[in-house]
Amino acid sequence: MTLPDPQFNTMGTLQHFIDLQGLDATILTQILDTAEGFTGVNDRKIRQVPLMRGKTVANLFFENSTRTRTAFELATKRLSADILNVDLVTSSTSKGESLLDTLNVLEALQCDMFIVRHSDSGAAHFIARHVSPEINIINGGDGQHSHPTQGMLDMFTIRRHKGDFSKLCVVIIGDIKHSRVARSDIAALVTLGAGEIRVVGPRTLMPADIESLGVVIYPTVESALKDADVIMGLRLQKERMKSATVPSAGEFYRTYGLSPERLKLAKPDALVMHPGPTNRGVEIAGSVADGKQSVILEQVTYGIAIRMAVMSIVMGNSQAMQSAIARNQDNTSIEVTS
Amino acid sequence: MNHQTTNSTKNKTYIIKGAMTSGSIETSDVIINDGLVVSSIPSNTQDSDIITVDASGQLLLPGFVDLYSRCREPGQTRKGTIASEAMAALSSGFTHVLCSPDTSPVVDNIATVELITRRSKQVEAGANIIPMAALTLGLHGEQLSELATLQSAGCPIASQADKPIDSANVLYSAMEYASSFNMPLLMTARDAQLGIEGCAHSGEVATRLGLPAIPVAAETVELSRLIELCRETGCHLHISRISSARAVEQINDAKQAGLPVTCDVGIHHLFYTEELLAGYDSSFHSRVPFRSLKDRDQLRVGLASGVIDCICSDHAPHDIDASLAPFPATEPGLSAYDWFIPLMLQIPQITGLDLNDVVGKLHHAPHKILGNSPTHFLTPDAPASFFLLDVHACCDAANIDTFQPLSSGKNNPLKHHAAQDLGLERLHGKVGACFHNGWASTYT
Amino acid sequence: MNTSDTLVFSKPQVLQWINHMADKLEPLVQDDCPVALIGIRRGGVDICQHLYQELVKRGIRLDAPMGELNIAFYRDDFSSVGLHPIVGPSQVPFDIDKRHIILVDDVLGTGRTVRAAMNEIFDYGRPARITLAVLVQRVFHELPIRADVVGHELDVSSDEYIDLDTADMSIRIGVKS
Repeated sequence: MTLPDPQFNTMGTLQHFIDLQGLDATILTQILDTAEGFTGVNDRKIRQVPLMRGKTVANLFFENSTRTRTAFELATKRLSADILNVDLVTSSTSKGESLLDTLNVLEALQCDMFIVRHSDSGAAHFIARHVSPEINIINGGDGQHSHPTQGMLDMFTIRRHKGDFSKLCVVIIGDIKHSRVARSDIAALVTLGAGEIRVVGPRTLMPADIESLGVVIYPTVESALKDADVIMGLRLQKERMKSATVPSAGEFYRTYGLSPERLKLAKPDALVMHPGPTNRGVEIAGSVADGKQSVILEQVTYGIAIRMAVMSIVMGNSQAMQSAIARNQDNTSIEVTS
Repeated sequence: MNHQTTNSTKNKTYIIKGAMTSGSIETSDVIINDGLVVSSIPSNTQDSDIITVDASGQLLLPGFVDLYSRCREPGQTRKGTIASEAMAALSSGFTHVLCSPDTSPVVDNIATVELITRRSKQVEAGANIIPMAALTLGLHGEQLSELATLQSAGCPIASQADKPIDSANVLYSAMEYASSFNMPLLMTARDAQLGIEGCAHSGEVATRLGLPAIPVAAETVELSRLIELCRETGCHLHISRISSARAVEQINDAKQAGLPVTCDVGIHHLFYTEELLAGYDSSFHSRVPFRSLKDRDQLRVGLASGVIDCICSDHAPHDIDASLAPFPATEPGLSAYDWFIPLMLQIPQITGLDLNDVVGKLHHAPHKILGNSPTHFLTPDAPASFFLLDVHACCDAANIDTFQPLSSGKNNPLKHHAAQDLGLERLHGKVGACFHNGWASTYT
Repeated sequence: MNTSDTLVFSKPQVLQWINHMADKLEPLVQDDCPVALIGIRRGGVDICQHLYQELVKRGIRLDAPMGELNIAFYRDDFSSVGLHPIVGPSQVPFDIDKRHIILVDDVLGTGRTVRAAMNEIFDYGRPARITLAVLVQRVFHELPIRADVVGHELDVSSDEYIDLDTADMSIRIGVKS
């Protein structure tokens, strides 16, 4: 009925990592298990493996992001690949060069993998549909749609602390509407069979028909937090205060902020998560962000292993496919000549 | 090319034999002489000038009138020209096409009106391209255009295209002023701010895809304002391309109250829904968004009940570059003409209307809105402006791999998708010949 | 694969080979240098566990728990077969530096696994010495790598496989399908 999922290649393996919607539990678990292997690498003296030696990865950031770009850069270096940071926020596309022209140039420069961040939802889908089949695309965040590596590092953090997803009650608080992180987290939690996913926030920050994604809307942050195992905060952009969606940071904190008092409503061992950067005193109290239950910095650390896992899996898949194609061509040409 | 004008001749005498009306009644021979319908062949006609057309099994239908289209000329001729789009329109049965004033320059001056009408006349075997007057200068929504002047230069209707008018004051004046000259206003109900950044219906699919959304209220809020100002001013208000179930109710209420309000629906909105955007298929990116299944079904009901007066093409040809971007950055709109007939032929099935009613919404109703009172299209001495339709013909558009559209715009989902994948029946139906402005064009 | 093609060495035979390995290791590990055992996933880990217990039983003092290596990130076939599934991460719960490492695997064939494992060990630190101990050494090999300690030598052709079934600690030999 609709366009095919561009994430899979002709062999049916994951060629691009764009969207957690459409990936089954087997693939998500493979990513988590592989990342588990890479966490060991990151704890060693020499934090590098030779897996992607000689490959070139291009960081294409059409939108500013120091954190995600740095995490990908580090992951690339730990896989022994070369990284090319292309700052596109101030360069070609703003001068009117089309997105595809930029990509064609980087393909001609023989890059093997593009990490893409773009302010338009669907940008990674579009790029994946238009690059040569041997290139890998990793979505570093597209508009309000998807941030799949963040989603997976969140799952990794939860799995490390809680193990089984099926018994978990996860609460996501705040700006769901504009959040690609929320969409990716929800998709992964649903696929991994989380017991209950609750969302809470002012109606101005809830997208239409959010329940259709498999979540339950709670009327107050207090009711949502009751017996929660995992609490995920989301960043509230300053623009929201200007655009009449939220009156003020203070009011947001008073109504939805994760305060020490509210945290007590959740289970005593509940995890406190946030994709960062946090607005202290807006989404979350500083003492909660730095508190015993907070795993915010762990999330950042695990982000490297998750990105290493995703990059090596998709690149491995396309390497395997290319060599299978080459073998077939060899076989065919032998048949022809004999 | 599979779909091509093979033969256009002018000012011969034609005898059309064996055609049927849309009511499936066989017509007696229809004779055209010098571009007019005549009751008998003039005695001085030479035999060599008489062409007999065997139309057995084909329907003879009056030329369609399109209340919203775009030719892209002047300004964006890489997307389409008056020549290319007039020919594409005629090959789909349209003889009269109202063109959006959002050209470059905007249709807010006589020179542009004259340019469009002159180019239109130069096209052999094409539909008449009729410019709509820009309601405000530059479509900026601030100062009124010289509506009376533009009307006498050939613009039967004034429109703000897809641009909003922020100020109720300007809108109020525009309605009062236009009604002084009995000039209808064609308006699209879209609020100037609400959902203005949006590119998809506010619903499940936009939420899943993270696309900036257009709530139904963006249409209904503006529609309320338009209707209330119409109530005050008595201006003939035509609402172009409604999209939601609630809008159908609002129009119905306005009509029940006796207001001079009419409306139309774009043909694609009778078939497509938000679901088709999944996977970021930008061929469904439409400025008037495809909404929920319930909305689409109510548009069908509204068409059947008569709340919706006409069907328009909302034809929006684009070049390839327009779609080479992430979904929100693609240019909205579907190129409609080359796939219009097979879709039109499926309307009876989805609405319960008979084909005669559907033809009425493409001929009689839009003519009335333009202030014409069309006599029956086969009345003697009327200009011959009709076409032959083979409803059973295998449609070239069904063969998506080889089908070459006549319009410059190839941006239609049916260029890439099989009809059944879009929830449509098998495509069939094809215009065999069109008689218009003295020209006879046959299509094979 | 047909079972009649399969040659099986049962658990008692395998355990005897492991004992044989321990015999040869005993004199090698009794110097001043601290010793640690590392098994290569998957089969090597099982052999390593048996070997560790056997050495402890014989009164050899091992001050470090055994380590496990998953060499998926060091294999040389990434560009032809992609990433191998991660069955469990590497775990080296001791300092490699200045240690005598006994690297244990089930089958030494081409030598490529051992090359990958040694590369990985060096990313943990600089061992004083590495001794390679394998349950089965094939005659056929592709890299100039031979074991110091061999449980059993098998001369099978390159189109045959040798597998350790970790469920019942038996060895199977058959023709590659």
